[in-house]
Amino acid sequence: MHRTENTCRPVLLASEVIGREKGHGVRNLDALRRDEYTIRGGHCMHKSIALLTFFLLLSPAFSFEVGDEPAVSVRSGDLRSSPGFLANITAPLDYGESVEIIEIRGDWLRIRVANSPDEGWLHISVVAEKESMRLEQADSSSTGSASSREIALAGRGFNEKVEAQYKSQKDLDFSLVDEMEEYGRSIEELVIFLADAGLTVEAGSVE
Amino acid sequence: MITKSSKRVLLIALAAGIAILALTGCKALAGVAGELSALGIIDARQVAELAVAGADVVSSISETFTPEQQYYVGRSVAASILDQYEPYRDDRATAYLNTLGQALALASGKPFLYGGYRFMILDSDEINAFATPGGHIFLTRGMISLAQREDELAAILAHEISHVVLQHGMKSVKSSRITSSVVSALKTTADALTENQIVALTETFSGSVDDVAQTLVTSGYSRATEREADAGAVQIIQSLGYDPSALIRVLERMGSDRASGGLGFAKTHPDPEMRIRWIDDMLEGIDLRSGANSAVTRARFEIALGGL
Repeated sequence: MHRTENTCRPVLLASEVIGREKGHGVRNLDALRRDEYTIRGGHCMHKSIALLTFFLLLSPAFSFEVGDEPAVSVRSGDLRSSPGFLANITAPLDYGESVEIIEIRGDWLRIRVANSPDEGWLHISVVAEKESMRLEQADSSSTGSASSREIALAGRGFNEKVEAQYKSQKDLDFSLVDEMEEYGRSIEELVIFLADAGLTVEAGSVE
Repeated sequence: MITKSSKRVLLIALAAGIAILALTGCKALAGVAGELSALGIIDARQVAELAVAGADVVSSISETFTPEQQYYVGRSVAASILDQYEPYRDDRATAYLNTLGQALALASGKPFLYGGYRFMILDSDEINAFATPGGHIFLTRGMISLAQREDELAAILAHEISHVVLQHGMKSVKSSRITSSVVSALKTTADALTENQIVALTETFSGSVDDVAQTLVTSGYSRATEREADAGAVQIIQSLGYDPSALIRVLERMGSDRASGGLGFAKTHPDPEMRIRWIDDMLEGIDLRSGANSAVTRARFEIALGGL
């Protein structure tokens, strides 16, 4: 019943700020490791009752089981050393890469990357069922992850082509959209921003 | 009042719901509602709410497009919004908005989106906000000025993030856009596409962008859809520790704007008073205390947005 913990679990613990070496330069991250993060579980069930229907709304769109083989559904994902937003990144993941789920903890999945020695943790929203990504053909005809990646990349080229056609038809300027897409922040920055104000994001790994 | 035994019942309910979800997958959310009801675990009102949720999850449009294609539709919707509005150039305000917004997204059901969540301020006094299926979120200066505190701005952003998470934009694409030739084209690998399939796909793409942009800018979502986004917003901000009633304070100010002949948001969104009523229902039994350090949030809010 791991999905129960989605809405109702202790929040980020100091000990959940995992995998960072001691003496890392950012003072706030050090603070995150200390006991400033307390478990706010006291009102948990209370909230859950009121939010029973709501959490279903915002739950990730897919439910997975150990043994499932979804694919990476984000443009570039991160494989992490442990379940948590601040865990060390151990390998990059590309859109369309096939992974096998070997363990589920809250919203975090421990996975093995197909045809690769890479193994680690990712958030459930980093992957989706292959069918939703039109990757089923790649599986039946392929001999490995290289070809599923190829299909995904081919699809990407096609989508850019459609956008280019649309752009010329409508005489639209995408430069501001491109500029906007550069506004990404690192997850560390986000967690520090929250922590500075005493706010906490659920780590999702606490059972 | 929540007793220990009702907590136990809830746990069982959740366990049953999850077990059923695991067995049937998310396509049967409405079915889950029925099961829970049959077991006497949830009441009729909750069944109705779950049925609404199920309808969204089952949305065939969002299942027809891949995450990548939804992102590309979102990019074009963003471009068409930026064709109608000028961006407001303020690096400090934009950086603050992105940090706050992306931090809020961490607490949503979908922290990781194909291209991530990005926020931009539009240079308009009109009170309005838009969220594309690709995670591009726009707030006008007028909308931002409704927020007097960080938690209030967080509530506005969380509402828009919820539209993205719940795929409301893609849901507004007319089902007639998906023809059989498009379905077959979507299943074909790029290099095997025929010319006709490319034409069909481009038409569908273009039509889908128009449908989403039309909904965001002109016609608006249904009340039920807005209510879901409000519920999502409440969930996001309260799970981080912000006061979840912040959304009500923003809506109260919006109400007075509406009375003075508001544009944009007032045209495409339900009456703020109605929204305040349903948010009041959602907040029943929830601890409204804020965990935020108000000295910190007030200072950074003022520094970032004081010049707006």
